[in-house]
Amino acid sequence: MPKLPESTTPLARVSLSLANLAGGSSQQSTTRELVVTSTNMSDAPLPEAVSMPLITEKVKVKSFRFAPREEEPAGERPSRPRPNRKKSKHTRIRAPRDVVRLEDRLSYVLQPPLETLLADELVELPFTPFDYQLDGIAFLFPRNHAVLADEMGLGKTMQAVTTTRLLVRSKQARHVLLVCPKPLVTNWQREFALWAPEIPVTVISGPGARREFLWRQRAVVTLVNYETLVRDESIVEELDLHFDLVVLDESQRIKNRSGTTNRVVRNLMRERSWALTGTPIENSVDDLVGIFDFVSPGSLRTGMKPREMGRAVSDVVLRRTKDLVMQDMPPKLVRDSEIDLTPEQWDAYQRAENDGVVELGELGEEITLQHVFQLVLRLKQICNFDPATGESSKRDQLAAELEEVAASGRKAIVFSQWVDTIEKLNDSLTQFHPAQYHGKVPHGRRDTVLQQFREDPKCSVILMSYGAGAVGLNLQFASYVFLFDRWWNPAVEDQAINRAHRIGCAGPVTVTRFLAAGTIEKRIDQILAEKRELFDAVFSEGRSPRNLSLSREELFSLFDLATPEGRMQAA
Amino acid sequence: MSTPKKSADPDFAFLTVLEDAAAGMLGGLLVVNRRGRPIEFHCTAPIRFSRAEEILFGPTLRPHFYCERIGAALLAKLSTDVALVVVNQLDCWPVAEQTAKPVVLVDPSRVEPVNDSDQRTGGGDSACLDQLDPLQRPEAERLLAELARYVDLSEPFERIEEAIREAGLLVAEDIEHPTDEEHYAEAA
Repeated sequence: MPKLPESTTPLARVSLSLANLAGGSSQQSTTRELVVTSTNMSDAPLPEAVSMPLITEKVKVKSFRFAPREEEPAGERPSRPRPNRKKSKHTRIRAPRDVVRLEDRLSYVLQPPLETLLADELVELPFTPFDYQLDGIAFLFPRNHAVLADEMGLGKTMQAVTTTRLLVRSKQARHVLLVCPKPLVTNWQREFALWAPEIPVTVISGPGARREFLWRQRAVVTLVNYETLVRDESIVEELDLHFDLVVLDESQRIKNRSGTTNRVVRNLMRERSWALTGTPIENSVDDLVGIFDFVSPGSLRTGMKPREMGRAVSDVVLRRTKDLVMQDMPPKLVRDSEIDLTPEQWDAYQRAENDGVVELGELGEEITLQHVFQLVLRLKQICNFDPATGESSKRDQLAAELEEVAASGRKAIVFSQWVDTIEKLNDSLTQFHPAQYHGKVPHGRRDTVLQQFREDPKCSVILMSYGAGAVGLNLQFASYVFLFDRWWNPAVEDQAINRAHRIGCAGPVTVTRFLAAGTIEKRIDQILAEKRELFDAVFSEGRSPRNLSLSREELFSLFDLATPEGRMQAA
Repeated sequence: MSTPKKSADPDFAFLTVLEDAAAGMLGGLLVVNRRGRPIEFHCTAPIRFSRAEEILFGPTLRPHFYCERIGAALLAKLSTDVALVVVNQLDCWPVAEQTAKPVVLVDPSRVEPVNDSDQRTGGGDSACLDQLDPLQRPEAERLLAELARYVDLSEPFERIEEAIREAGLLVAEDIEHPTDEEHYAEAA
């Protein structure tokens, strides 16, 4: 009870039970008293005192303590001032849904924002990442199962490398395996040298004995292409290799669930499984099931409804498009250039189509997809070049457009399905000093070719095959892309286009798709246009996805042919 | 209750109180090292004041709840020997009476200087040292400068709110930030 000044006399003692007044609990409570006083009023009759204890409920506290993190001793490295981030946003690392314990979830939430971690002098970056890239890193960092499915050109490689770096620096990952298509091995080496220069990368290559030696090294980051990994399956098994993180680049490679590659990557012993792909659904939604066999086995199964699938993967897949995150990125202008074939080409085309259809018709019930496919290929080749005379209206059109490209000092990429076409173009476009990048160019020479295209001012054009050049290359200094002929799948065409239209491109990218008027190319284009719209069906609400490549029925329908199951309608 | 640190690196405590219209008042205390890494986190269960308390405590209601009840309960749980306690609310500032550690108020731009000797650290997120003993100020300034190399001084308070939200203690989507101007006006 408070002590009163000597000059005052208590008038009344009123103890207030505030907890009772408030209807609160009286357990574990302490009582205070309020004393109403008056001075020089000793003659006044004293009223009856009512005590109301002032109850203070004990405050309950929940506590969490975190294991100290290993840190490099202070003063070992030169410090650099923290950049002024007062007004910038803080990118939080949030716990994935599969982390259940509150203590574990809080251990993520209470970490400093990503900007603080990256600005630390221990993790110096060559460039400041975009906000969405930081979001991507914050997404990958806490996840054991993740699919980074950003549209091509948004920097999936940089996000994966930087997150790997953070995991290695925080000692959460000691052995990382990175699997990528063969042509992209040097690209990954470059990206690691740029974004994580202190992390050694070992590339598995060479003869068997050397590869085994390299596997035994247990490097921090081991880089291997898919084919070599499949070949070395027994070595990996015998050495009992375990990885803290396995990253699959262009993970659509494992979409075939019964394929060897899918089986081999599934058998890798690992803690974290990440897949990177710009085209998570290349042909059908079942592609995603193949990828999830590696990333999070059992999460998806074939036959799931798209909405159900979307729900199941929502915490594991991160997909952003350029429209969404790069609103200030230069535009991509796509135009279809319908070209009339030369008279020679047209004659050859009509002969080939008529004869081909008759031949197919004569096959009757023995007709197979392969027969139709061969006819389509023959016709498409004629649309490129007349086999007899070498005439090509597409080539003439291309040459005319390249004049303008070269005159303005810009550069162009030309894509074709065939090496034969590329070689013919090379011979007839010599004035533009073309570079060639396709399957016949040895891997050892490919970097030199790209360097020539990048640095030689006379070299205005690079001729690429979809197979060799569509994925992973950074050619954002090119302002023009020409699709000399069309691929079967819009996702692959998009990959090709995004070699130029990606982060870092200085201005708009103009894409020209050549179409031979009145030919099978136009019919294929109509089917592909429908499929393109359905590309993201699994990530949108309720639309039924379809196969994105030409199906068996669609191929037959190109010629109004009957399949063994019945006649299909022409496209 | 605190345990002396073996390392010479200082640790810092960030203390704040949130008010949720539905749940009541909740306090959070986050201890970080000089790089901003979390070491300890404590949060209180929500408590509510009654109408009678509101009348009787008057303008001293929030300082009482924030410091003598929530702040004191949180500080009692500390197991790290922190070098400095950072608060971001004027009503939390009197928590200095509950601890021997120096207490500084971050973001003093929202508080009118108390007197001419009011001292504030420089930089983006300045802190007010006005209530510190003059002998404590040089050391507090040095510690804040050390911390500010890695951490925005107001940023850990965002973490506390996120963590309390993650713990499911907040009901309302948008909590009332007791640092609102009208709140200070009321306190004044």
